[in-house]
Amino acid sequence: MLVLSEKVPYRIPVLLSCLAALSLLAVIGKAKEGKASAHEAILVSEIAAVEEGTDVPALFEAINRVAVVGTEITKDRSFLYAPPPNPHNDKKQGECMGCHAPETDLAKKWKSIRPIPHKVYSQCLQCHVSQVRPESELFVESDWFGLDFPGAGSRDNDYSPPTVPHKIFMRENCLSCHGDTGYYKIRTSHPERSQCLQCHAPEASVDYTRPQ
Amino acid sequence: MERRDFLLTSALAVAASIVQTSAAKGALADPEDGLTWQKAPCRFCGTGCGVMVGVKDGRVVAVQGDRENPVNQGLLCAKGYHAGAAMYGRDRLRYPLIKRNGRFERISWEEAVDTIAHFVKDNDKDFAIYGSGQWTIPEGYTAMKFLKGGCGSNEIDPNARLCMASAVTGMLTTYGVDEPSGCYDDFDVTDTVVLWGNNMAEMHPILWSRIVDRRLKGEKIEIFDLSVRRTRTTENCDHYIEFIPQGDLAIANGICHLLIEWEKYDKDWVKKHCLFRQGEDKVGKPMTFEQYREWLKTYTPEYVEKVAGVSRKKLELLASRFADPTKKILSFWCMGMNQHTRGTWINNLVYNVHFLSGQFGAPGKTAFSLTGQPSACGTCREVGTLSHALPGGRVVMKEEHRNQVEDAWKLPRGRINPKPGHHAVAMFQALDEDRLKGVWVQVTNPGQTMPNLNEISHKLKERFVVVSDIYPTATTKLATLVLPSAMWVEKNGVFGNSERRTQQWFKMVEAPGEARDDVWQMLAVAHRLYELGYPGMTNVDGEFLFTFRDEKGEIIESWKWEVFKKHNIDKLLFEEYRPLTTLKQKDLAPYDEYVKSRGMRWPVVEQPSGVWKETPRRFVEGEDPYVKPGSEVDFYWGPDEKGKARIWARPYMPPPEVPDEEYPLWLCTGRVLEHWHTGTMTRRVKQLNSAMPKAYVEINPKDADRMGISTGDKVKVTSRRGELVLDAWINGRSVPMEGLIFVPFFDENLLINKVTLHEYCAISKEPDYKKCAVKIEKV
Repeated sequence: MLVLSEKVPYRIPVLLSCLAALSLLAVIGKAKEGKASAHEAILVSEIAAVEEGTDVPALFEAINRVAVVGTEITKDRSFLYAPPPNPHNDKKQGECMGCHAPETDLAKKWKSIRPIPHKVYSQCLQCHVSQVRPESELFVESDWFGLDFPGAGSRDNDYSPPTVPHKIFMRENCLSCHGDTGYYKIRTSHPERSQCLQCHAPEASVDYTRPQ
Repeated sequence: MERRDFLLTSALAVAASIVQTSAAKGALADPEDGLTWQKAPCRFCGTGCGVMVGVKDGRVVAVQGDRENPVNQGLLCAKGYHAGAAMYGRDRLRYPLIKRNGRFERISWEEAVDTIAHFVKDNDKDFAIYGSGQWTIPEGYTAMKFLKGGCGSNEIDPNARLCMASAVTGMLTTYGVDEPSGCYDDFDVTDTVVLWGNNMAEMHPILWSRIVDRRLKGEKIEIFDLSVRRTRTTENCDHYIEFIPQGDLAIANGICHLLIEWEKYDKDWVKKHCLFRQGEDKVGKPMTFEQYREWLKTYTPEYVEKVAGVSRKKLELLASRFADPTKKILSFWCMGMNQHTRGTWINNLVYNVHFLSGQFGAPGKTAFSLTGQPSACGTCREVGTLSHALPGGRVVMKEEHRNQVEDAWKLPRGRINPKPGHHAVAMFQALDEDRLKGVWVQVTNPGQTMPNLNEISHKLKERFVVVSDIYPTATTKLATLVLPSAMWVEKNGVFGNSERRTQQWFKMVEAPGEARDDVWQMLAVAHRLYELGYPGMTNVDGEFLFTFRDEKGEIIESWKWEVFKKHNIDKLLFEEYRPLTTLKQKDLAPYDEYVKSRGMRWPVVEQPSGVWKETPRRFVEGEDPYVKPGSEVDFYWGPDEKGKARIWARPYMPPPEVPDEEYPLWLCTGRVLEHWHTGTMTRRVKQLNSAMPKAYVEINPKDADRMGISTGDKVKVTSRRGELVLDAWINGRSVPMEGLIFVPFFDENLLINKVTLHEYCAISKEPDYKKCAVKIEKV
């Protein structure tokens, strides 16, 4: 992180004003303390993304923790299988895949930009609605509580692979959440292996296509 | 519990479960313990996506797309995913309420039912029912039988009048029978799509995905967007053709003119399947092809450019696609063409274009009317909950039709009134003027959606207004009596979607408080009337009009809630309704077939093997069993001659209100992706509300510049009828054409319908929410 704060102002020259750089640093500070909001984190990632080639993986690593905690795990999502709302402003269709495509250079390079977990559809925004005013008041209070995130899958012994405790539909790309770029608590220890399901079998109860 | 605490506890729970699992080696935890998944169609738009609803401990906790449903193949839009969350707004109506001295007081169901029954008994001919395209089929059927069979009155009309009526009259005047010929399968094979004022990306997102996602597989689809604003849909289109509102009439005629001038129309198809007709009403008079050709000569590219603002180049480009027989062209429309003072005409004209080019009745070649509501087709159009209709495409004006229904309902001849009742707009005018004394509103919100609201709302309060709903709405504010209803999977139901697909679902959770099914509410009042000796509720056998028997032949006391809950009354109503569907080949299968399937498209016909077979494309040989062999395409309800549809000479006529010096701008209204209709459900979902918290006004950047308006400024929109102050949104999600502003209607705090016009199509009686003259000023 130390290296980062020295590097960033130099590596992002003209496009970033001092103000942006300062806010960037302020958020990095906040990120270290775990205080940055998801929105701030994403904002920073967008500013930084302007300068392609900027060597900021570590920055994104830091932002990732904040962003993922903020947006991916329960906060803005209505229930386990709900599409997470997108924390950006109302974008144009098609812009999303510039960063979130399963295998773009960006995704590989800046590991914090989460590749999508499902097959590619073109109309991202029809499910991932923009949260322009996440703090805006509710129209009416709600008593909704959705399906919570599952615990760990079961395992036979300490050395056996755990089962998959959630549905896989729309989450076929396991590494989107469990890879290097995922929420750190659920990251795999072996991201180099791509055939996850050959060891981690889905629990029968989460697969509704099976006869029950 | 605070969100932070919640996160902490869930994190701890995860940690604990990890520890526990490691400790108890081999013990298989069931991650979805107690969770059950069941199919249902989505409750929102007319697409009819299949969803899987996850229920745990008596509550809906999750919704996923149903991969087995051919409509959406697993995908849902933001509204669909949150259909479950929409049920749990804290202010759900839980008890019947009556307004006394200006305040709502809780009353018992017995009292509520008794109050309505007494009112109906004393005012049976002046009592109306205003229903909905969100009614399930059994709900609409019950309401219609209650009023048309029980009260001998036709004062029933649905909100679909504001939404689909022009599509219905368009089909009736063109090929003599309602509902589309094509189906969603056509979307997978077409190569050219023409959108007639249709923002599918926001209004029918899953169908839009079904089309444009084909490009991800390398398939080529050319899309034309005829519109008055650049929308999210435009982003995926190859050609954007902007036109002056109402210019669609001239564009369609202009294409036909070019096809004939170029001698590029499909002579064989037209000769086999079409007749020509002219006139402004629904009957018209015959004309010859030569006369039609002569009539079309007005619609030169120069004329089209003058009235529609579309250049010759663009018109010729579009016409050239229709002139190319190798193309497979699919036209779409929804409210842009239906909410139109010439709604029936423009529907006719789009069929003309497809008929002349032979782009009809083959895979990928059709003109497809999209519906706005989940059961506008199933309930309003097929059941016939309209002021002039009866089930199965029958009308009250025809004695033969009345007799068939009277026989089916075991009613004495003459019970059904031959005079149509008031259509939606007229119904509320009649209420306003005290010509109708009371109305029962179910599953809709006219206090927000009627055109020119200034006229209706204040007087409505003085009438006897019963509102069955799930949340407080703009309409419940005007009510005398508010009845809490069960929603979606809190009851059994059957919907019919845009492609004639009938889908069934079962009740999965209990409704909150004392909320009860709309069907039960209607049955309870009907039975109370029967007890009070009201003669209409007795059939010729001397029995209650809604008499159901169980397997042992004993009467089910369905009007008693405890009994109603134990039986599937939906199935009994559906089976009673089903024989009425075959008159015009809209045959439905038995209820249990729908339980097994992910819906079926009618006509569904039993095969000798006992299998019930659906019909993907209607009127098409090889698919529709009612088509005459050898005819390829058979319009078997052809209005003039069996087998033939009409090509109509319908002129361009300017709209009733056009911008002038005083009111220089057009106002167009509509929906947004996140909100369903008046937002009563979707605004109670945090994710959807945060995405679209309030209404706004879209202004073209050039107009905004000229007036010094920027995003976020307060702008007053004024018409001859009313005014409203909104935040401006410039260069946002959509950009309207110069001289036009757009305002969505979902926001009950910002009612744009106070500004809109109430002029309607003379044939369909559907109002035009898409164009009137306004002025704007920065405030």
